Amino acid sequence: MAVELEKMVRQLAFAIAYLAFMIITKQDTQEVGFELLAAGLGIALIIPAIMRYVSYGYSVMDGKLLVKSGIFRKNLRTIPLDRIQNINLKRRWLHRILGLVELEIETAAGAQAEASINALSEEQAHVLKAQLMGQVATNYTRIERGDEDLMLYKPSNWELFLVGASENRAGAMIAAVLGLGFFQPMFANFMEKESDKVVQRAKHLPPNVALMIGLGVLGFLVFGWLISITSTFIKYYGFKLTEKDGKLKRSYGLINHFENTLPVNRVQTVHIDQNFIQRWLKISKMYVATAGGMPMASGGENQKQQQSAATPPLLTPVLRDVMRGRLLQASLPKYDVSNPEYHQVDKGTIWRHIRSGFFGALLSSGLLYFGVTMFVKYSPERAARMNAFQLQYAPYILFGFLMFLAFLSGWLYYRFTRWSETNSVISNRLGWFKTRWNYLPVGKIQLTEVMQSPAQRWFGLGTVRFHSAAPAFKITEIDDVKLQTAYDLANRTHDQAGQSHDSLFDGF
Amino acid sequence: MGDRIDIQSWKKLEPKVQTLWRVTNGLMSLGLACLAIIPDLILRSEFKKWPLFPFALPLIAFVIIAALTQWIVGRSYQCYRYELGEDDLAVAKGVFWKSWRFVNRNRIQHVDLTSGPIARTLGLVEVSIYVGGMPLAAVTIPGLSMAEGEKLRSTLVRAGDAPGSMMVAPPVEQPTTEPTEPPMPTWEPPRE
Repeated sequence: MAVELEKMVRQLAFAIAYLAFMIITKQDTQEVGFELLAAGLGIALIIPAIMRYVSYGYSVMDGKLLVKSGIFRKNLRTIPLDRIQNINLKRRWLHRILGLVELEIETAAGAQAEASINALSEEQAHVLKAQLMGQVATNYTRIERGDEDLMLYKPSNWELFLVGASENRAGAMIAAVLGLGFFQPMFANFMEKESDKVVQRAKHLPPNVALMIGLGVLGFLVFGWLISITSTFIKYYGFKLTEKDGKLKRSYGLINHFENTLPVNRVQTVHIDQNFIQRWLKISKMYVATAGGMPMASGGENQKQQQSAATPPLLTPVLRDVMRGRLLQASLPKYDVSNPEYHQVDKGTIWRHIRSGFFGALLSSGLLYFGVTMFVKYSPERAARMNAFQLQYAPYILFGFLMFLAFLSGWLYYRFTRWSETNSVISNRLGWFKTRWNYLPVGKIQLTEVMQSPAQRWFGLGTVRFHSAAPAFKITEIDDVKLQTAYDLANRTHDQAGQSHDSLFDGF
Repeated sequence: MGDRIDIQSWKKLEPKVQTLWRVTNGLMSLGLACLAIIPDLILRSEFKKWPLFPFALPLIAFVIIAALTQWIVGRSYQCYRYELGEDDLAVAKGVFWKSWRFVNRNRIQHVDLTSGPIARTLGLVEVSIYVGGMPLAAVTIPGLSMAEGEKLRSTLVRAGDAPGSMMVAPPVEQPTTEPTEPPMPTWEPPRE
């Protein structure tokens, strides 16, 4: 029951934080309202938690798992035991303090867990898990411990630190939170008063504003970097990837602990990300996208949350380069992806990029030209104060710059993109600052598409797209190859799609 | 094969779909032209010597958009083709941004036939084919006659009897299609 409460608190965390903040920085005229709001919020938290606790129940009978929930709208869910694919164990911080476990049960059907049983004691959880897996057990000590799982990969703490250090996502998050905060008048007033004080004090320092601002930005970035490191660490501490019976199992987490399993047959595509810093450090990140669902890397708190379109789950947050082959083999065991024969895209892509960029550049510089003309016509005094050379030539400079960007992007694309179809696996490699490798077994292709934009038609190029069944990363694309190559590739692969032995499992 | 993908031999859509497209495009141009009323009113009230007659902008917008779309309809019709092969369905479409989609018949999960009000009066039907893992249709063929649509659907659905298809649960025994598993590679123990 405490767990339910915690869940509600988490879901309303933003509202609570906002309310608390308002209370702290409140202005006198709004006293009464806040008291009521706080009381209302308290009630809104406790009552649903109590109701959920009282109305929830589960039992295993007759080869079926029955889960009932709800007071007003009662719901009885029946899951045949032999349909259960995965059983995931989650332990959030409160669970661990109280010695509880949350069990999530997945079947082949949905994208989200079909049943999620919150707050079982450890013993209950293991007994239930054994029951669900078909063993008869009433007592924890009598459960057979199966063979030890085969350990595939266990990143060291140093590696976790490195991968957190080589990325700086947190800066964006902080900026977002601060940005949201500024929309509140109270928060803005608060910040204004504080920053006024800072400026007052700063006036006593040497008046080098640029330096102050520079230091401020640097401090902000360093702060974000530290947050990135700590959050990676906390999220993935003790990460272990093991394999047993054709299922990959991940277990990780410092405060909230998660264990998920993933049947290897459900893997649709595999992706590896490596930015240039990570390349120097010889580490990378590996993702697998599966058909149906898999708890997201962060643990997927909301039952209804599917794989987001943006990020498929991490197979491992950090991967030493030398281990890459082994993990690739583990996630795509029926395919040999050790030595793909890579081809380059067609050199015409550089011209194609230039042509695509041409109209955009023309439009932008045309708008600038128009803007400058209007500016000169309607406010000649301001225009006279500006550099005449800049005004006159600005549109042309912009055009040249944009065309150069187009050429550069085309050249970089040509230089760093590779694709391959060896051994019935479509794989490609994109980018340099942040390199990504995609692997898509031909047997998992759902739909093949060849496309050609007008710019590509000028140069006889085309794009091939392969769609897989995974909700995230469903498209693997090879852009700007000769149209005939694209067509032949599509023809060759979609013959095999749907007919290889791999594709018969679960319909995927 | 030549530099272009040859689709001349593929099946065309029902000619009546052009009427459908013309009507729909006409309505859309009308709607968009109505949007142009707002800038027209604003400009007329701003500039005293607005040279054009009232509601000129929407009219011009309507004429331009309608003319463009009507021309496009003819070209689109020529470019929209489909072909049902032994184990796949191919659909080509697009005048400027061309697209050729190939769906393996074994991958088809279900087939939908839909028709809006105008299409119904013309006796046309749109066939949507869904494959695994995608909420939207993988392939749509917008303008077939009812008979053609039904025939296509039943052909695609009946493909469920072919071996290796997704439509029917695979038979219990898998005689020769299951290849022998290669021996698992022996991996050295991981360094901790």
